[in-house]
Amino acid sequence: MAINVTRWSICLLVLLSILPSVFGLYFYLEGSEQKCFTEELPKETMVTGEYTAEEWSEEHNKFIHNKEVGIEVIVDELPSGNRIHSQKLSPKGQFKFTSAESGQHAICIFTSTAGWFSSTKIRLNLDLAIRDIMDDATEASEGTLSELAQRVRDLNHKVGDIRREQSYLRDHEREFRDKSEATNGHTVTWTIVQLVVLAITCAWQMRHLRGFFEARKMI
Amino acid sequence: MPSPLSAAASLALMALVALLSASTISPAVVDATALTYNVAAHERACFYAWNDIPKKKIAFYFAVQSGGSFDIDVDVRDPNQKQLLALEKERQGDYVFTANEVGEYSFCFSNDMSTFAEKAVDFEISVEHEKRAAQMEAAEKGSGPQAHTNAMDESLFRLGGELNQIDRMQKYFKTRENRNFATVISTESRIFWFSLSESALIVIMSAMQVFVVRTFFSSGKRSYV
Repeated sequence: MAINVTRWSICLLVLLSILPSVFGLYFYLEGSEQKCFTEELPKETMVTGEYTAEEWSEEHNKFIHNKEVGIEVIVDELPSGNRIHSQKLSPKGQFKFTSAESGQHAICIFTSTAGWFSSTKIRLNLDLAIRDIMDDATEASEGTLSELAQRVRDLNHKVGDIRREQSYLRDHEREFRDKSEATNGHTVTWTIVQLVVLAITCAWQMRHLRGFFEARKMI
Repeated sequence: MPSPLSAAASLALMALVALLSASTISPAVVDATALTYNVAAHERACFYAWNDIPKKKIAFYFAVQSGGSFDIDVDVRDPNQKQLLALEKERQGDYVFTANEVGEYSFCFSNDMSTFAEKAVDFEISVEHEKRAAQMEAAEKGSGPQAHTNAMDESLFRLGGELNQIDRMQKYFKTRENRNFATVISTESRIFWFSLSESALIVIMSAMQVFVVRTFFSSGKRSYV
């Protein structure tokens, strides 16, 4: 019985030492590899990203929190390629940026300390929220929140996300309809162009052949 | 014969209905992360979620938003590298797994089938919170402190479940709308190029006709006509 207990506690200890610090979605970055995520943002929207980066250390044979690791975040507006945000950060924290125009944005994350010894492996937990997290902090400072109030706040955020998605869909659909109607118009335009080309070719053909036969005195 | 498009659409709807019914039966507090990632041609991109307690539910949703024929290969593995889900050329999917093992679950997207098309995949991985599951178990057994469920509690959960359903439906429409947009762009380009090539063909054919008729009457003076 005692052996079982010690075995389980050892297993648990080993497990705990390799657990990621924040449970959530994570991925690995090798060397100076960058991973980019695209988001469709309406204009002047604040986006907050919370992340935790851990580096693989050969000595400890697990991922550890290393203060020397630097994480860099760059945000580009996709159609134009403008860089609207670029920031070098510590291994654990959050970054914020505000979109200027509405449209697709690319959020890229990579390590800025890899350089030429590109054998470092980084585990990066990431959570992106398209809202201002400062709101949460100010709400929390007004007193301890009960679980129900916390849930209501989460629901509010969810409703905000749905509304934002809805207005994006509405704009996108408007663009879609404009494009559909333009295509419909072009069908007519190009058919008329084709008919004109056909008529001109026909006329030229007739004129040419008539001239040819008249020259041969066959007509 | 139903087209593959309508078959895929009905499959997606079935998956949606299945998830909706599942979420109304057991609404849970979830920890979800939703991201959109561009998978380059011949790239394999993996994302991971950590499960600390057995029997938690992991929900995995993905939809290809743009690129090529809007499909991608998916590979989901449990901590022992056992394959939980292997899909080829899927457009979208909504799955819930019971995570029996403790460890790292991997969700991989593979774009081997494209020569140069980049696929934008919208995905969401959420892990159900243990606390709520324990409370629900206690409530069902009638032994925990919330054996008599609070009305507010219940209605909040129902609200959460309904909002999740609205969110899923929206995502479904967004994916379809993106595909419609791509179809219209393709129609526009096809009309343009086909009209141009047809006009060119008319001109060439007419020139050839004239040339042939001329050669009939020019070679020698023999009357073959």
